[in-house]
Amino acid sequence: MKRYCRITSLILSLLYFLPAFTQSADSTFTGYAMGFIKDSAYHYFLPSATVSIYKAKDTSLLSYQLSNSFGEFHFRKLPREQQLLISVSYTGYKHFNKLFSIPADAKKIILDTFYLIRRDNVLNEVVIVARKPPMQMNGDTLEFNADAFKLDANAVVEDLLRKLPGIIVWGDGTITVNGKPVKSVLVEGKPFFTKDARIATQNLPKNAIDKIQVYKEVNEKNRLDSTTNVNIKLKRNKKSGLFGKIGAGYGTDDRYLGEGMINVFTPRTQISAGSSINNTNKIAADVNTLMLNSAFKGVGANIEFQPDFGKQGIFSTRSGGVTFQHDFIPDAGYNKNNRLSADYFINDSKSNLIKNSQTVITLGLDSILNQKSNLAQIVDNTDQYLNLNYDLKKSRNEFYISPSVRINKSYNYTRQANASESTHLGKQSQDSTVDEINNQTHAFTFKTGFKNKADNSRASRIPGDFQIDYTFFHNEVDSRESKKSDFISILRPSQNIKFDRNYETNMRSISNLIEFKYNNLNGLLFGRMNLYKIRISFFNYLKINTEKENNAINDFDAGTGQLLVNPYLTNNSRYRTVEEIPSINFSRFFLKGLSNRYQKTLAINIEAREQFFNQRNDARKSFQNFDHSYNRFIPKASITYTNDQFGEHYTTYTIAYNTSTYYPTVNQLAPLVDSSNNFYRHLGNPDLKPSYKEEVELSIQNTSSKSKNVFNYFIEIKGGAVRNNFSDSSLFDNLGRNIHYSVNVSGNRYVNMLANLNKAFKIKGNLVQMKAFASLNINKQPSFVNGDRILSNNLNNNYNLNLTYTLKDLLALNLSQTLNFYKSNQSGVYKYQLTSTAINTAIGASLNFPKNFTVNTNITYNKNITSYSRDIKFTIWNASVAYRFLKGNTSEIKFSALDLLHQNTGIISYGNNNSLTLGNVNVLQQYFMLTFAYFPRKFGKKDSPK
Amino acid sequence: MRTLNIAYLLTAACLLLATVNIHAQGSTSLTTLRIDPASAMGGTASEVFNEVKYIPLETTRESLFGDVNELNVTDQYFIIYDRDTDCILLFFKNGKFHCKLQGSVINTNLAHSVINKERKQIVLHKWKKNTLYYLYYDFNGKKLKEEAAGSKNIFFHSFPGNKVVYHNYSVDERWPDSLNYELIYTIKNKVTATFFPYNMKKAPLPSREASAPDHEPFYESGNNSTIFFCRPYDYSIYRLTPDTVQKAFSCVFPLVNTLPDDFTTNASYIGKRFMHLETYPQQISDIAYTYQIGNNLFFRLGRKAFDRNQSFIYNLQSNNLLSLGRITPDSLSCFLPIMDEGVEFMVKNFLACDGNYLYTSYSSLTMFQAHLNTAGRNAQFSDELKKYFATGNKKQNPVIVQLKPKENL
Repeated sequence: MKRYCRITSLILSLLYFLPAFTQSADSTFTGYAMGFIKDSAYHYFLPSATVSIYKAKDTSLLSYQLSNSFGEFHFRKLPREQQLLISVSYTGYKHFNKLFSIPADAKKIILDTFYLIRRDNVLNEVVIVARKPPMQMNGDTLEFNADAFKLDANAVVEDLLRKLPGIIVWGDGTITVNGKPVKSVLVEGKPFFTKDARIATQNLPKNAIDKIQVYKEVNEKNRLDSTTNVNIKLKRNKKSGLFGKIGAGYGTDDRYLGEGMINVFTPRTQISAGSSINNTNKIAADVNTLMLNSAFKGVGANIEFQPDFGKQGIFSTRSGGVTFQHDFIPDAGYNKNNRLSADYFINDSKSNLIKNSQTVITLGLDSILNQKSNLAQIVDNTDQYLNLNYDLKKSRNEFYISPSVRINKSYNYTRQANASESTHLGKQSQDSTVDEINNQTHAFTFKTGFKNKADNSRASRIPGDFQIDYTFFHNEVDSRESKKSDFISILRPSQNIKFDRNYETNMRSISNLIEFKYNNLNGLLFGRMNLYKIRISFFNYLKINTEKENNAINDFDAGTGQLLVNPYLTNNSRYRTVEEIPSINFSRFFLKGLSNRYQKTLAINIEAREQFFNQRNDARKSFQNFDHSYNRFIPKASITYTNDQFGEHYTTYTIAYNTSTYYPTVNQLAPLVDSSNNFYRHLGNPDLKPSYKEEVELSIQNTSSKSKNVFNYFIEIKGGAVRNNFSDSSLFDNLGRNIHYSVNVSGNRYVNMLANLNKAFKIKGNLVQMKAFASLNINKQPSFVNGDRILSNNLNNNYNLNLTYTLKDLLALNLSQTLNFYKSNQSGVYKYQLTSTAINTAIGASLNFPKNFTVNTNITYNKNITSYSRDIKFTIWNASVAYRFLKGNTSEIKFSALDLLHQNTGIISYGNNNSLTLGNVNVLQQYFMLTFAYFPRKFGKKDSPK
Repeated sequence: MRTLNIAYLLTAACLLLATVNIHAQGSTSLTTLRIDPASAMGGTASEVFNEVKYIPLETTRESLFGDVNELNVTDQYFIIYDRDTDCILLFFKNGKFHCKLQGSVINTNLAHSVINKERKQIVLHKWKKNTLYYLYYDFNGKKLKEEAAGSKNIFFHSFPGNKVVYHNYSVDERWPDSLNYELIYTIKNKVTATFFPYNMKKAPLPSREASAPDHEPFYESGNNSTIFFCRPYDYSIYRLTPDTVQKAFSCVFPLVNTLPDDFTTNASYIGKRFMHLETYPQQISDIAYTYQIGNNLFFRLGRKAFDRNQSFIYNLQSNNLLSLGRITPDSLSCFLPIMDEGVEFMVKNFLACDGNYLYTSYSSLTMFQAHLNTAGRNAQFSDELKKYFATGNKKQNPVIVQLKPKENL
């Protein structure tokens, strides 16, 4: 584990080139003031003292800065002929205040040297509540005092962060300080409810904040590896609080929305409870999402991203959950922790899906299969889980225990009609199926682990770094299914067949996983021998998994009117796998550097892994019984080169080689073939061998070390080949039925490329954020169709460019362009090309005007161009207007108009080798909704009157 | 530890019983210094120094090096040890490159070289089959001789007249239950005196907790016959001469800065000392970088609280205490730093003293960053500095800083 410690100089570097920070400037402000700060008793100039300038009449902050290394301050663009107040502060000293003004006939004024008096030298000092400086250095931490920044009374932390120099809050909640992402945002040194910083930044009121602290931690082993962190310090009387949201809305088309969330925190304990009910496709997967949906947010303009109009089907959901976190020690931190946390969540969703699709399958130059499918599905799913976690961390060791339970109950009703048509044979066949499934799943997971870090001062006498983790997993699924299908062959009526089949399945699996890592094998085996500085570590992975399955399948016999046992499909089986991977890791680290110029490192890592795998299946059907043992060498290696050019950039280059093996499952080897699946019948292939993948990865990550115009990028290229890849062999009969099994095919190759970059400019109150992303995936996928080997050359391209402009708290604009392109070329016996392009262009705006009114709108233009289909174009336009009222803006009334043009269309478009599926699906469409929300908010005690 | 030769030490211990003929001079000339770091004065560069000179070291393909990890100043040369390139480099005192010894070329461990100014020799060490050899080079990089060392210690100082003082402190449960000495005086490899005895096995301060600050234990101030000696957790500064070990200064600090009295003698602290220092970061763990020019005594106080107020000047006549971190650059230093804004000075402090001047160094990265602060201040740079800033860049060789303090501070 990396051990980090704070360091002062690095945080000072954040300020190295920073001039005065101007809160509000006017082009008519042309005055200039300078002066010196000195210690009164010990006769020295004070660098890094905070000097702030306020308008005397209303004490609004005009500008502030830290004194430079000469103890000087220089302020430009100050108003003339106005009474100004200069305030100087420095930790350990009395505040110094002085009134001054810059005469109209003088552009520049040189103020006296200000002598600060130490607090401990002031006898019987009358404590006066002094004006806090906006920014100050406190030891190794840069602190921003919240009270020094005048914001709207209802502002939250996020609004404050936007005002701070060098700090950027990105649209996705990421926070960067001088371009470097903040690793953790803590409140009082601890995570606030979840790891998601937005819970704190979008809810905690600015007025409850004492300070925003920014500090850097460097890795003690590699002082060049540092992270930037933010801690939010609450005011002494605001360390406990309550916040949440109660809201309800009703709209056209019977759309409704209800949500409630309450979060309570004390210095050591955090509890939150929330629930949501809606039929607007707003689905929360956990309490964290509920919390984010209920965030108060402040007064700034935020682009409100549109609801998920692309989600297939209409969902009505009810969900709720509780989280709990308690710290047993008051000063938990990175190296010290004693914490119990728990969360419970339940989600009940009902969905209604109507999908019509058409799949074009190319079977030759002029032979095309056209399969149509109409599907209607109702799903009722109830999912609930409970996670507990206890974590005890000390300086050299860590222990955790984490049990969890998950219960799922689902009902699935599907009515489907399929039809197949061939260019050669015309209409071939059709079927209709009604399927009803009831599932119940109970899962229990138990994880525990212990990690020990060697005491370096006694390395020779006690065991070194080691880590052991154990996972127990139990899963039981009870399933009841009733399926009725009617297959009609137009070409050969003799093959018409009907099924009325009932399934009862019980599947129980248990797995045990033990992972052990010992980091310093050198010392244990070779004592003090140097071994050319090669470091050896040992890792062992052992997983034993057992699955028991009991199936009882009955067919309804129309003749007798009775249920008859299906002797072929009725089965009992026990499948066990044992996977053991011992590995030895050899690593060598090279370092080359020239102090204060550059440091280059080269890390070579080779992992020799042998995988032993045994799979055994015992079933009632003898053809399903097998006992296979394999062992395979699956090495892994990487070379990482870092180039740190001080003050310029830090670049990491990585090349990695990895191998892995995939073993065929019972379903691929010897399944029981269910003939009631009319159009897709899956057979087994007992000769299937394990597949073996080799992959090479190249990546470059560049982080700028400059303090201005930071520009970071990441590029990754992955390429690989799979030997004996599990590919498809599909046989389409004259009736259009696909009889399918897996085969080993070599020649599978792929290349995946990914690049992203981000850059932000913050100029006075304006912020421009740019994010660009591109990915390219190319693969060659051999398979068999009707016994002929075909090679599919697939290409998938994604581009996204996102620009956001924010003007203070008033206006936010967003422009986004996304392009997804898919192309598949068949070569070999069949030569064909399928293409699909989706383009989305979106523009959004948010305006905060007049006060407490927020207008949001966004328009997305969608265009889909696909082979064998006409182009589909549609535009989604959403708009909303919200008004906040009551004291503290705790109430909100909002009118939303969604899909104003009534054009939203659910498009299905995807390709897979020689097939392309197109179609439509029901999606959420135009509705208007009026919502009312109340945000209960109470943070600590009331401020005592000053 | 390779530096330990038990046989030698046992012999030395026996010899000493018969040969001790010099003794530690008690406290006849002991000066007690009362030091409150928080109350140290500050000032401007011109109030504290008579002269501040920045000497850029020539950067050529051959002379390019990383950092000044050790500095010895002779009449003619700056002799620099650079850990990055494992080189000893000699520059003329105007910054011009003279020559270098490269560890990989001469197959020698260059760390802890000792300069014999009297004989104008660089003494390096080398291990061959568990035997220590000294290698002697002249100031032109020419090898003079190689001889087996009578002692196995690499920390030593040569006084005039073949008198040498060695430093060794090695305590561990694995070592024999026998006596050893921190300071051993020899003449021609014959032990003449020993000081600061300790039991190698049972001493209550194991070596791993007595890790000396990042410096050698001896500090020279230009006079070859007198050096200062400092010990971890000891608030005394010792003056070593060819014949005596004298407690020269005893420092007294405010209670908040003072370690418990029994910190080195109480065995219950074993294994807890570093934690104690973490818990009480204001407590002073060592005095180091001790130099003297006239009435001015220079030293660094080691504390876990790593701030700018750690390096001091104590005027023995006026009893004034000044903090280097509180000295503001001015026209005397061309507005360039005395103590930089980063951590360079905090890490290396003053590297050498020749009796008239103190020396430290700054990287070109620091110098060019500091140069930005001189804009608009009418700094009167020397021709060398003008050229350095005009034609150089932040990747050039470091710059030696030469400072002459005022006598009456």
